[in-house]
Amino acid sequence: MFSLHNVSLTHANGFVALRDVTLAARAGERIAIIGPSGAGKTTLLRVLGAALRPTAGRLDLLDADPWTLSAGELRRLRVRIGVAHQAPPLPPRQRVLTAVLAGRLGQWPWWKNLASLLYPLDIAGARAALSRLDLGERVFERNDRLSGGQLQRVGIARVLYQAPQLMLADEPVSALDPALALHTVQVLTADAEARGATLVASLHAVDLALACFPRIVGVRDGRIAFDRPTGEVDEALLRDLYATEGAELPTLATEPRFAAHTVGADPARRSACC
Amino acid sequence: MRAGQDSRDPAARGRAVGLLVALVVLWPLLVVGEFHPLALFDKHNLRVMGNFLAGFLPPASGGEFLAYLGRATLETLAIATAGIALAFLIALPLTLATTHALSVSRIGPGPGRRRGEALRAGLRMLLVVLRGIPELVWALVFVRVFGLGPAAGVLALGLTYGGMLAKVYAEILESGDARPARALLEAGASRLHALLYGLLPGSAQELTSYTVYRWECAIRASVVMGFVGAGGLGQLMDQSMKMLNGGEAASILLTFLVLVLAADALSGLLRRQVGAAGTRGGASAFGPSALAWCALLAAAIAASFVRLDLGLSALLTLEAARSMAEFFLSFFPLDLSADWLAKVGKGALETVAISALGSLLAAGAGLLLALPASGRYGRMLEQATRFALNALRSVPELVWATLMVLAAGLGPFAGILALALHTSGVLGRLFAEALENTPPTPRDALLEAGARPVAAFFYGTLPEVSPQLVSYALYRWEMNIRMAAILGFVGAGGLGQLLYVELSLFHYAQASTVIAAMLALSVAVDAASAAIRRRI
Repeated sequence: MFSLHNVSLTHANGFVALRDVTLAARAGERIAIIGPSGAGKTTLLRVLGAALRPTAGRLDLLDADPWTLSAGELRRLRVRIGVAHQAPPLPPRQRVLTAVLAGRLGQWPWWKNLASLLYPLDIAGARAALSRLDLGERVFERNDRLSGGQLQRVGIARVLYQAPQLMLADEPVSALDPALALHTVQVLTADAEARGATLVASLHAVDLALACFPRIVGVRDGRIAFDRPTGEVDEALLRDLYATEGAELPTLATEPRFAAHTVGADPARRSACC
Repeated sequence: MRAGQDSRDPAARGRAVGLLVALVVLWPLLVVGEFHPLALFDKHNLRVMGNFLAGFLPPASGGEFLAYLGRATLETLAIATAGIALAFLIALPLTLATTHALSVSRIGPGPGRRRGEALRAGLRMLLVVLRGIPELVWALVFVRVFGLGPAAGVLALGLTYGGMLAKVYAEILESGDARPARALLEAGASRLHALLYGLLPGSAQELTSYTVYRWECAIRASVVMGFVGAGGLGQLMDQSMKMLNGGEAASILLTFLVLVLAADALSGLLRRQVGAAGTRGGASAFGPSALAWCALLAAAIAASFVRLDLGLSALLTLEAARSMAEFFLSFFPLDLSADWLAKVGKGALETVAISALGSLLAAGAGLLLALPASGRYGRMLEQATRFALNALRSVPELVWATLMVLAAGLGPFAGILALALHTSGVLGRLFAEALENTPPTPRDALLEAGARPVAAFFYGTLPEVSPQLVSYALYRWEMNIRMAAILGFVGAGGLGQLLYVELSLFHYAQASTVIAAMLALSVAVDAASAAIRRRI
């Protein structure tokens, strides 16, 4: 599905966001990326989304190196990649319906894109995607009428509607309460599993990552700190990743729910999820 | 389940009705405006225009002509400066009297409240009349009183811009914090002192900035004053156009471009100076540079009056006052006969069609030009379109109209084209700025999901920026209805044609009906535009 070989990325201001990252995934894999703020999670996802060009290393994305392609080929490659953003870039004055339908702009012919502005051409499809996230009722409302959490879910509905082969999610549930966050991530993983698509999500809440994803990648200082099946992730590894001696690890709930015995070893919770 | 009903877009009916209404309104406008784009390709028109344009090269550069051009340019600048100075003198007392922020009788409410309100309402009406009648109409009327020459131009600018300045000054003062001034008034201070100590500290910058902007507009306005015989570059342009002298026209057009660009630059510089004012610590509020600017300003105004030699003192005699009063009385009563009203009605409809279609075309063309001008397709194209936009807007509407009358024949269609050309330059620049200030993330996200650039623009950029674009276009429409009313002076249809003919025949009663119609149109369009803007 994708592979990175010794990929590094230095931003224009000289900040080194990724150092020597090597990471690969097969089709249908579901990977959670965790790590402290500023570790390079977002940059890594943007490189995978062909939105940022690495300064060094080799990148193979859906059997192609995006940065050697022509403009047209690159566009067609990007159609197969969908991104759910932490702060969904949706125009406030646009309707939810239009924002979701925009997920297929790259797949629709140009006349359909423009005609759909006059009369939305796939109301049922947009509504179906929103309904999976309990937002079916809001389909005709404007984005600026929604809360931050609802907007995040509209962004996810757009990716569901796009139905890409590679789904990327950058802290997709950061504005949701614990129960809704769990449900939403479940919808994403179930969708990926049902379509055989690959899902890579960066998550703030460690317990959510452990509960819903079979493979965990820890990122710290622009490097891959560890890359293991969820069963092999233990608390020492996590404390090392966040470098929190005695402090709590970031989890979904406000009260500390993170305990050694739940780490990667709660089969009931995991079966509830995936 | 209501699924069947729910899969229909509830907004669709409203959109369909809106589209239908737009078509129903647009169709008669197209008919009234004699919208025939093919006229541009008419053989006769092509030949006339082709010969004329061929004459553009080389631009005239004879010594005698350049001397004329230089003198006319100076005269244009002097008319604008003297006009703004006069406008300021007219606006100041009107502002003091009309603004709510300086009302003494509202405190309490105190004695004379009714009278104060009535006075304010009356003066506000006067302001509407002053600025609702286009400056060129004032100039055309004044030329009959004072004869050919710059005096008519200066007075026309002074009256119209005085009305505009007073209205906007009053609004600026009311939009700020009124409490300091009120406290001073309650302590018995006079209006002028309450203004100086209570309101100016908060609003001086905005007031100055708007005045400078108006001066910039006055330069563009005084360029065309000559078309009705009120001096300046317009007179020269009128002569060159009548003789179809392309070389001279080209030189004059280039002068317009330089003048407008220079005024832009100077206006920007002055506004930056104002922004920096008051930031220095010291006993005096004015630093040496501010004092230098003030001295320069005073010198410029004095030089303008000296150069124009308006002979204003001759106006102040009893004899002159009596003849002026007689002249103005001859405009009343208005000719309200059914025949004449029908003619004026037709002219008014034509004027509305010219202004609406011209603004609409300009909005479309402006958006197309704004895309490259906002730097989306590289630096080269950005610079090239910005230059084109500047060139379009540096040529005044009336001058475009004289050119378009050659290209498309006499009639309202030439007026539509003239408004569209000038306004697309103005709107293109504003639209480009609006596009640059729109957050790029929604569009970028769509591009990263493989959308084509056009689709990403429609789904990611336009929803955010469209209200601003529409309101810019509506503001221009308000200005264009005034402009459309006078394009007829050069044969481009509408009310202007009627007014020009009637004034030449000394039919003042008929002329005043036309002027009243212009006033009514501009008030109506202001109201319509404000109503639409509230709804978006």
